[in-house]
Amino acid sequence: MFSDRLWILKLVVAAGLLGLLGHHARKALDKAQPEVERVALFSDQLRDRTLFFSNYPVLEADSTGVHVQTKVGPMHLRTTERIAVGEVISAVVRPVGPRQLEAVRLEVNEGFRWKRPLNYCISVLTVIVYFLLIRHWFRWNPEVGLFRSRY
Amino acid sequence: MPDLFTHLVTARVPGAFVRDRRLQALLVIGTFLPDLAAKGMYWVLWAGQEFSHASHTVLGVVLISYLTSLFVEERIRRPAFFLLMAGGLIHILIDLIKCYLGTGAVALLLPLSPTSFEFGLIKPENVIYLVPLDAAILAAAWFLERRYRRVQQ
Repeated sequence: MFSDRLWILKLVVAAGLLGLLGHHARKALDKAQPEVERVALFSDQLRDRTLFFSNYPVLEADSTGVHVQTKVGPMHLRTTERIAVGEVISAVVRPVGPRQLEAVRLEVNEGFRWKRPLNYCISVLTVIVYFLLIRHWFRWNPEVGLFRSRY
Repeated sequence: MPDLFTHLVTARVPGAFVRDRRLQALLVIGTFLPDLAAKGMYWVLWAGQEFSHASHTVLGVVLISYLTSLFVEERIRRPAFFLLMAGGLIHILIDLIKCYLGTGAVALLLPLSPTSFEFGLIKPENVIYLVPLDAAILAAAWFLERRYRRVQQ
């Protein structure tokens, strides 16, 4: 399993299994946790289900709730909470009609617009700096595996 | 993806007990792999969010670790695989602390079950507040490790 024998075959099998797992994950999660965008075409399959969305911006607010921007356009979300236009929210919702949602649990993500990019910047920098720091411990040598010890 | 600095620290601290520096580095690389694989699937292969969830499952971590270990020289491939996998599992454990309003952060048992789990301790974007704490832990670990090595010498 860990020898160089049939190296390419092992690589292909592992990549193939990962692909199959991804395919299965897509099917299983699509069934278990459908995307909120499905509510654009409301059907009885969605009745009594709860759906989740995260980090959608609020476009408009009215007395009954807010309009959130989804991947398929705006949807109305019924809620008693007062949320300002421009806020970014995550929510567990119940579909009540085409493009109509009712909030079960709702959370305003304060500072999302600066926290998300900063998180990504720190993450990318972390990976780059770490790989630069450890590069001396490995050397590029495809014939015997890409990472070969200097020792 | 957010935040790989926290993931680095959570692997680097137990990594202090790994003597071989290359294996220590592979443990840390292991904690990067689930996010690097997920983002690679999503941004490079255009595979979709649900597809890339595979990288955050126990089986996904095993497969990604095995794939990565194939690029390590044969002599240290076996320990490299186990350390990459340990790093990946630490990553999943840390991701479980995030709060997705009870809907679950990680479907870690796929393909056996699509149920997602979470401890729900911190909002996903608020991991940014952990960075100063992470930096302090990393500095303390680095200091203690240096001291320990000096004593050993």
